[in-house]
Amino acid sequence: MSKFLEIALGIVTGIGGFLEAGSLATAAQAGSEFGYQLIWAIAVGTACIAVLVEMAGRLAAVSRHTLPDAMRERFGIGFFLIPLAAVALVSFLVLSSEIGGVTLALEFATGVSHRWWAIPAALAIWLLLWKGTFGMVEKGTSMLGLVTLAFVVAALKLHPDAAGVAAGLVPRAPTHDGARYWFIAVSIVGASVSPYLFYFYSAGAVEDQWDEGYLTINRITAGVGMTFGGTVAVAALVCAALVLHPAGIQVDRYEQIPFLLTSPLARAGFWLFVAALFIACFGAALEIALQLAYLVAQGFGWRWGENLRPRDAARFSAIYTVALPLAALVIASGIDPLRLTVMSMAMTALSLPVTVVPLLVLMNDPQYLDEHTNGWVSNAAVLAVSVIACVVALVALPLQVFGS
Amino acid sequence: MMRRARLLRGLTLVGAAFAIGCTKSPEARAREAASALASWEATVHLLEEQRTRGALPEQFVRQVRRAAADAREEAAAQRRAAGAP
Repeated sequence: MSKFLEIALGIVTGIGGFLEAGSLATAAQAGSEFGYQLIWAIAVGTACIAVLVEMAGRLAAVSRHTLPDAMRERFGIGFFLIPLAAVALVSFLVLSSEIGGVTLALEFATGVSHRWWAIPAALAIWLLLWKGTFGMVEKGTSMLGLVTLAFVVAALKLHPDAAGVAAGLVPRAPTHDGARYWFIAVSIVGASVSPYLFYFYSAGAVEDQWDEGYLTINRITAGVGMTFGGTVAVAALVCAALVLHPAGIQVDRYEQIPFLLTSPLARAGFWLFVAALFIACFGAALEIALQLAYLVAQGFGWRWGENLRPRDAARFSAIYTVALPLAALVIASGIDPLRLTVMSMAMTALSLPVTVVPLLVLMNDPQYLDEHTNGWVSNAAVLAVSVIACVVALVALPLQVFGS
Repeated sequence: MMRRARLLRGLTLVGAAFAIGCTKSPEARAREAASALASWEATVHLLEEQRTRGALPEQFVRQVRRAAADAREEAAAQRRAAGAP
């Protein structure tokens, strides 16, 4: 495949795969309650995930190790169990949220309660993982995910004030409801910097047999793809700021989010929203279920690979086979999908130091990276964002749950 | 052993103090409920406006009305529990 085509596909994957239940819900809440004020949180989260994804790809290309594999080898199984537990827990919560997004899209389309769709949706995801290949999961869903560009079209049709949007890129103290402001800010960062993204990316790079010749492709796809992806999330926030904020609507349930597209695009907007929610969440659920299997199988040194037949990687396939129905049961039990989504994003932010610091240690180890170790700027930036997001989540999460 | 027990006791105390300090006051709960009520009133207003324009399928209109009714009931119960009129 030509390098140009690989870069183009990588960028498309970044755009089509960026928006999912978490980034959509948090962007809608941010725009509806605080106008453009929280755009900076999406920018910070996007920059951070672009750097982390680039690191995970570089580690895979230079050392031919996936992230869990390298962590277990470098730190030993005793330490590895800590990030394993943290990533597995937040990934499971996020998987439930994504299945919730799929089921809500089906409810909007058919009128049948989303709880009835949880098990069929999990079954469809499982079937694709069981029968499909890595390329189908990664590229297929990202191509279809381009439907999320409808948010960019909608935002442009709403004629946002460019100066106001630009001002939102600068972090400011909240004008009201500080606890809520910071809670949404860390949820946005958690949604952008989901560990499943860079764990999945590192496994994908090894599945695709990357070597050092891929370093430039890796840098461009991580940087440009994620930046464009972040732009889609900003567009969703802008739509919420222009449609819901002036009307005095704060997003408490998913039923309020389709207005982001129906206001500027009328009935076509409704169906575009349903398609975007379904495809974005379905694609994310596929990737997270697969990443859970990668994480455990690579961490314990089992045979793994989405391109292998399930019987040839039985324990690997068993993990997503067990995780999917369990995650579906959480939604079928009647838990509010929006609350679950936002809480799991805040939990993701809380877990960031546990998942990010071991990666940073690996990225500075010449035994794995030779001369391609990290510079101090990326080390400092990623460490600062992770620690600050964790501390803010630690304070904002109980304030949000119990009140201020 | 002693040190671990002391650490556990300290953590429990900090947790308890945090939980007590973070409990919502009745005024805060009433304010939250009022704000949720106003938000759902606005949602229904926007819904009817877009339904008239033909921007929404009927089954979705019914879903939002149902969600609004549930949310308003919940907010009203929250206000009553907080002692608001």
